Amino acid sequence: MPSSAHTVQVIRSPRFSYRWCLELLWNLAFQRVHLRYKETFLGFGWIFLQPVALTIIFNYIRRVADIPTGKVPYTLFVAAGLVPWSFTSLAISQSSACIFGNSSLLKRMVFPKILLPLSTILSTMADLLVMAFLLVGLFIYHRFCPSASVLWLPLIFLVHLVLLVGLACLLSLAHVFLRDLGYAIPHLLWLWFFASPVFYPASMVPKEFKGLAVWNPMVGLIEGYRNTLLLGKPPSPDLFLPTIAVSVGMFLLGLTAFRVSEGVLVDML
Amino acid sequence: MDRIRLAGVSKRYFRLGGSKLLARWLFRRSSRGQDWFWSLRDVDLHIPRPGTSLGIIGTNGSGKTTLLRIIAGVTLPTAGTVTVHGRVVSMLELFAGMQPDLTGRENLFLNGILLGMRRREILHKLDSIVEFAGIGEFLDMPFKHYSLGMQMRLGFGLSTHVEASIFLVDEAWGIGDSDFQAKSFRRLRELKRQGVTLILVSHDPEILRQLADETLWLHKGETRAFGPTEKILSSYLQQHPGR
Repeated sequence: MPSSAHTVQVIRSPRFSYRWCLELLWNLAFQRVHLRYKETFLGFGWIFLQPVALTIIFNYIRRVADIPTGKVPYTLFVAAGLVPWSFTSLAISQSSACIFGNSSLLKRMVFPKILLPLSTILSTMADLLVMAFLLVGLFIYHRFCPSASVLWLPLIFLVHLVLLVGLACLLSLAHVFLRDLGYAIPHLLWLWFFASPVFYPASMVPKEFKGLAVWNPMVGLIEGYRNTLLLGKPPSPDLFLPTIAVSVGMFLLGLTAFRVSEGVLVDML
Repeated sequence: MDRIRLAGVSKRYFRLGGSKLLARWLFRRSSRGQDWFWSLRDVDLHIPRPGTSLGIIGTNGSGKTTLLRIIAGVTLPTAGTVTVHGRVVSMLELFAGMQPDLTGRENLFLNGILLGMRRREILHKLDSIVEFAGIGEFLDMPFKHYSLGMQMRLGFGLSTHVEASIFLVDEAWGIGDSDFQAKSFRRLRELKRQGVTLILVSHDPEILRQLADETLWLHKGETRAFGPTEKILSSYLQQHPGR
């Protein structure tokens, strides 16, 4: 047989039903959450630990360096940035290994592979939910009442989700071909953390980096969350529109990459 | 309608993995012949009727598992045409999908869904599966504490309770005791009677004789012979007399 110009044709019936896919997605996500906290003593307490520790650290840093936040209490200001950031950071670190880590599953079972990154994102939404309660608690403690601008929140969250799904698809695929990513991602996340306005306002980004920061989707997202939650303003279009563009771009790129590589993926594991 | 039809199916695997393959692709180095090997070459196969069973025989490395993986849809062929009509349950590496930290029950649900069942369906069949596997009181124990035999029985019990029309069986009973071997053998025969298509990989001529109507003899990825089980087995055993 010549080693070039192969014709491949695969005809299969029946196909996966959508309801079954949804059930599988839900179960994969649920088991992830379940497994992650099953054998730890603190259980879901671990979700609180990082944001709480960071909030305390940043309150300390604020004493050292002057960070203007207007009339908003600094703790609230930081928390409103930390919760979305923690969601991003958890989703990325959890999902980047989701294909490589499930190789025994992929080699044996037949199911839409995109359900793996999707289910990791879904499972980190459990963590997000817990952190959101924490944030609500802080709002009540500071007797801070958000205005009607919170109606923007679903849109901002949708863009956030679209970005994370795209990134999770891209990174989990890249991880299969480039194992180095497993080591690189924690460091890249730290770089990204400092490049994003988590403990400082986006207005403090140095002038020479402003052009670059616009294309960091976390700038637009965190600023959007803060505007709507704390300042009673809609997200500013000059930051939010590029964020939408980057997020949708990542999303489309991720889905395309999955579609292209789905067939050969298993042979690479 | 054909159940399974393979025409000129070949599968090539690369010797290199991950980053090396990526580097080669990026730098457009022409890949030489020794970068890959053919696990399967130009295999034809046709199973027209329901209830017909196929045995696959061959020495280690002859491409048996690759063939099952292609039929299962886990991997795509490098060349050829594959037609599969009907739900396939692959019983390759029976408990590879099980999570060691989850209990037997939790694993049944997760793996049952992965095998194509719905949650309600599993709930409905749970008693029957547990009884078949004979693990009763251990159902809520973490899977990692199961003995190898229990793990296998649970996997076998679950897989054979899926409503599918094609079952791929790869030496599934290798580890079980003789009681379980007899039980799983009866279960497969029952499935066959119901019109299920079995595809069995086995080194045991007795099992093939009793369950497989036709047998495919693979040798180094190529079809050596294909025909009625008795005929293929006698020539196979002539060449590989075993002990």
